[in-house]
Amino acid sequence: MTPYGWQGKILRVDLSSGVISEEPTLPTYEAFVGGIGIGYKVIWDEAPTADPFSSENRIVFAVGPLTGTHAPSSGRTEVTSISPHVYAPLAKRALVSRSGMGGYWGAELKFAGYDAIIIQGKAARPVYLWIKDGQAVIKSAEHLWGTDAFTVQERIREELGEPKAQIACIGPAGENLVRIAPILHRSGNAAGQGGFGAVMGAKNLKAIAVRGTRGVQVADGDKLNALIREIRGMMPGPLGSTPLSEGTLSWTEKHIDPHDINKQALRFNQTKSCAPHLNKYFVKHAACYSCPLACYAYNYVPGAGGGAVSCTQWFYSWLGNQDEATFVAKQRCDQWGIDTFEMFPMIQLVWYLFDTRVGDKRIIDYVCEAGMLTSELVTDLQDLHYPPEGNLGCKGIETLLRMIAFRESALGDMLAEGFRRAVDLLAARFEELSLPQVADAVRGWLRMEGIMGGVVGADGGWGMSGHYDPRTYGYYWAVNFAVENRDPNRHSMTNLLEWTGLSFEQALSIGRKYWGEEVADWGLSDLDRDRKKPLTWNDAYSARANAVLSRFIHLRACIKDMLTVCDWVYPMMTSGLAERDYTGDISLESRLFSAVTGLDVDQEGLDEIAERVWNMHRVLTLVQWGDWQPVNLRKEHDQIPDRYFTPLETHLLPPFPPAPEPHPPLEREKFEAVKAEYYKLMGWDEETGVPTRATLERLGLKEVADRLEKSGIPLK
Amino acid sequence: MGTVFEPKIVAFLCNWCSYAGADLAGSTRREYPPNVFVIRVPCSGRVGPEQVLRAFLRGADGVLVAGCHPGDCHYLKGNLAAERRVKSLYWLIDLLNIDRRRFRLEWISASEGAKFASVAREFTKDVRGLGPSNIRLSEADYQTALRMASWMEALDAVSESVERGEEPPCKGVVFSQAFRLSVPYRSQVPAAQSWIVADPSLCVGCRICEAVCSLKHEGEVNPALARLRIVNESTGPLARIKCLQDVCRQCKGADCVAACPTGALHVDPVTGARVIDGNLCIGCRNCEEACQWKMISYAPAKNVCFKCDLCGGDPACVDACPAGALKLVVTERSATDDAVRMAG
Repeated sequence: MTPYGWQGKILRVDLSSGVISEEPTLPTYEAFVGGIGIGYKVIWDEAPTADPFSSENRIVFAVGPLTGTHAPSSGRTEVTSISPHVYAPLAKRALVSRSGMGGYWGAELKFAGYDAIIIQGKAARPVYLWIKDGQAVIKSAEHLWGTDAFTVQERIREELGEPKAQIACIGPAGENLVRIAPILHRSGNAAGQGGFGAVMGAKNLKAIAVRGTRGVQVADGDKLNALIREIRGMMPGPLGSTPLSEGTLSWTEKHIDPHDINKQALRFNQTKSCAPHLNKYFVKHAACYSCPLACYAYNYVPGAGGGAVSCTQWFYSWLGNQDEATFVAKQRCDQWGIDTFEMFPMIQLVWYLFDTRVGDKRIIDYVCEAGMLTSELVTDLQDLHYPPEGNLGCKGIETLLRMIAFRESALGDMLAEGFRRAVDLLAARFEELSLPQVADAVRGWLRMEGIMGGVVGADGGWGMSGHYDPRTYGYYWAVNFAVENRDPNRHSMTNLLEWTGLSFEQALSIGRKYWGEEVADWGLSDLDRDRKKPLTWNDAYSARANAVLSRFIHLRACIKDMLTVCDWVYPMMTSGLAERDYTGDISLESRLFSAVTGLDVDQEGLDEIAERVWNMHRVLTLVQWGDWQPVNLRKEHDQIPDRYFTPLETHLLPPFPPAPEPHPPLEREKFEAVKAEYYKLMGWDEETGVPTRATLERLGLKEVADRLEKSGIPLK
Repeated sequence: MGTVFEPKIVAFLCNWCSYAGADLAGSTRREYPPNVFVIRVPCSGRVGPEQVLRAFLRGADGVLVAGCHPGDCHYLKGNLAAERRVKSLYWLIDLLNIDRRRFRLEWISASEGAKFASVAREFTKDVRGLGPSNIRLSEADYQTALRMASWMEALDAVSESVERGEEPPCKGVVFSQAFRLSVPYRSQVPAAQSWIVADPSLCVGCRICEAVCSLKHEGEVNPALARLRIVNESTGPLARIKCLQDVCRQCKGADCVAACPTGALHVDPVTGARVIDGNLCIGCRNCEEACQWKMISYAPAKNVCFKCDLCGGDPACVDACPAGALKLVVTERSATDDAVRMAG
């Protein structure tokens, strides 16, 4: 019998041999639930140290038991693979990463009868995969190679005669192995970070189309319906927004009654809050499968078509653009297949090349002289600059995106490696040309600060943009950055502190209910405090308090990514209701999981599974970092960029858009103290940050421990 | 180059006034451009989105609809219906990026030959200035556009009744009968007392309606078995719709009921919904074929057809919609009233 929630089957496709096979989801993957749990397990078992672009590398598309049901905001898909995007020069092998996307694809995969797809090998010629109701075929995509991500979706649907097929695909950037190429689906849905579009490109896999008419069984429909009604009756807007919230990502339609579940999708209008100059093009709110919050704003701009936009896809507006180019920039990213999130540091970098002088010349002039850029491209790119040097124009952004997607010019070729690699490549090039001062000036960019007070932009570590500033949030956030392999942001804490509209006192009192006074009071800091004021710290409590919060973030992150539900919604830290004091409910994930699967799992039980998944991530990182040699993760891996520890004077604030100065720098001793507490809580060796044998065995990962020791990695 | 663009104008003229007006223009030798192709219709109220859109797709550069002056209608209120339908037509025209000036509604009486000639001259001149229309639409998009227009028309009717200050008798909105004007009226099935009306402009495409519907009726979450559908993810000319709901209209004509050979498809005495009794259904699929809205589906596993039954009066989809894009309309009219009226 098919178990409730799961479809019970995983599809395996070997593109080298063309062999397609099926394997049961359970019992092998039961202990890992779904999503990234399946992904990490597959990679660990099969190819943990593969090169991202090699044929051995696995790319796993997986969903969890909640996806496909009407559990609120559960229309997610998780992609797991070894990442070409993650930048860790000290690691001997490339690191594992994950990325999620919404839309209809994940649910459709369930309806087609699968919990996951494992893709390995490399096709000799461009292909796409077509899956329908338990049948999969590999079809030629030679005629589709080179098409943009909108066209390819349309053409595949037409060619298959399946208007309801859901398609995950790559644009030209993925084909050109651009390391910041996401996997795209519909308009605006993308598995953005990790460069998994390039992994697909390396496998010659243009798209995966799915269509299904099989149902998802739920254990107790009435119980699930009642629970969903309860959740929807109290849930906040996306990102924990309440009727009190204001600003960029907020509950804009204040007149909508928070109790009215039949209006809840209409509370959050991002065109209004992020790009009011596009209001006249706003068509409607748009949602992923099974999401009552509909965070996307669907716009139609004549000449640029229709497209759903959310959050950092408004990057050009956030950087100051005031016309249709905001929308065009997002459309081009989607069509050509470029990560919009990367655009913050990328555009900052281009500005920096124009703004910074060495001697009497700008860096961009040196770039030009070295033959890395034609003078026409310099002129076009200058349009990207903010006024008066440029216009923040459409031509400028399109030029940059074209240079990246098609690797146009030597500079474009470098930028296509991602902003962080580009800085090092460009600096190295100037060293080669015996221009060490120019090389130093290029590296100076690494001291740049992000925009909006560090919310996005600048170097966040791992080759990714910064995402919420640990100097503003706290040491828990710094540790969160350090032990991840990618942009570590999980919206757990932002869902309480950043966009909710609650005062710090209100948020703190909610936090106390969740973690107790000691942790909340000595772990949480007021984000709006004076910019000169350092983080909350008390020697007796703060190290542990921060460690507890960091663990909470990681475990909840794994839970979201294995169930698979939306990061903007869970854990539901706040509520939209004043009479609840805006207090949410953080037990919902386990209750939904139980109602759908019929398994009696409480939050502790779910936390334990999450811990298992998180430890899989850790051991993968361990063997990748040292290539199966013993390494000290605490010293080598668990670090964040120096700029977070260095005094403010040495930082470059972005001149545009105006940004507040960052909070005072972090202190290394405190950072180390929190790390030590964190390892203790996780059951990892305090000295090396490596999971102990006892921990792995407790989590049922004895085989993992055995394999590590057999390969010469001793465990404590 | 050098040749002047000559537009094609299609004029739908009411038999009783405007057609006679055009005839008068001819017989009194008032010149009007040869670009105007006249189509005689029984009443301007008959002209709906399907005719106008089809005219554009077949190469018309402009479409004129003309009827009797308000108050003069041969059928009393047909021309008012035309006026109302024009609103949804403009909606459709905007949606397809057709210039609004390519479409015109005029009141021309039988005695106004001169007016007809001058309208025709002016309109031709305007359209000539606009150039060729060149509208392309796939058959599927055409069908979608028509469904969309039908919802907009229905919504107009809803808001009209609200404007008239008619209080909803119970949950939902009072709704005029005009909704189903474009449905062929063949069978003698009494009208439903309630039905679901969709507002595509609000639909966010979350598909929660499909999920709750299939769970309620089939015990599993499976949009393929849902009684309503969220359709259209077009990136083409209809990109602006993004998504719209396909919901059973519980048609007044109810061809499905007439098509059922066993009586499995019957009228629910409480709601008036057209419902299928799975025990009587033999899976012949006649009803599926009869439904012009394609809202009846066939489940091969059980060899039965299935369709919306309004959940006995409290539809799960309406209850769960997070955007208020589905509404249940309940009228006070009972099934017997309607049967009486029809018989009379």
